[in-house]
Amino acid sequence: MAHVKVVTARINERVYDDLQYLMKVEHVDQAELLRKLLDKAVRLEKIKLALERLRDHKITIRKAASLANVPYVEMFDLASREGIESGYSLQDVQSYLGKSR
Amino acid sequence: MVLDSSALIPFIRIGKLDLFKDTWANACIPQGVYDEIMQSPRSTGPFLNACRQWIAVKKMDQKKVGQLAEYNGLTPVDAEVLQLCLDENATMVSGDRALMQAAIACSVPVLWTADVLMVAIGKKVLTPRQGLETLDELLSAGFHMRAEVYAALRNAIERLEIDSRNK
Repeated sequence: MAHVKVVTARINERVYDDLQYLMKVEHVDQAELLRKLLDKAVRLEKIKLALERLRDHKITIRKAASLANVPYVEMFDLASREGIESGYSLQDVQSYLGKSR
Repeated sequence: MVLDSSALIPFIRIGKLDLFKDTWANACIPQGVYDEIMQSPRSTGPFLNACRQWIAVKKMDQKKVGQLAEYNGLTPVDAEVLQLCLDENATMVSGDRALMQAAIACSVPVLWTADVLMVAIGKKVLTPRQGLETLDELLSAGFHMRAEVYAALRNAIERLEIDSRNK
């Protein structure tokens, strides 16, 4: 069994009410629902952070995939869907044309 | 030529992987790139065929790769791609700016995914018209570039088309 840690946090009433609603609809207890939602939110946040760094070309696609804990091809597709450009610049076009003349 | 996944994936997806073969006859990739592509269920058939025929899949010395990764702050597979370029004295073909910067820092020549089209047109593997069509296909397959860069590249290819008509 995976190691588990106990986390305690205060949440506002609106979120609490929403949790109660989801528990009823999904027929799960509070702990199970919180684990599921937290897992999903952490995964999405890691992807968001990785994509931000990739957008700035500070990291490679592989580094972004590793930070977000997703396979390379998935990170390639996520970057593509987010419209993150490859970093190919006007200078690159001109440099290639200059070299090929 | 050493092909990175960022260059292979768009060409696999548009069904034009053989453009590399037609332009350079052969190419190589490290084992890590092979494994990455094989993780994707989409379009692995043509890639497998290419690996049997004209793409050499190289097992890398993990000690050397580890040192290169640590020194350049790269992931192990990034370092495999770079190490293979150094071992083979080859050009890296990629669509990943950060990886290409690492390559340039190691004096490895680089070629962008889109530059492949220019080389193919230069070697008459593609006509300029086919080059323009392939460029648009690459964009839809995930190789994004800024609008002004796209316009400059289109212009350059269109000029080649005018030149070829005038000859």
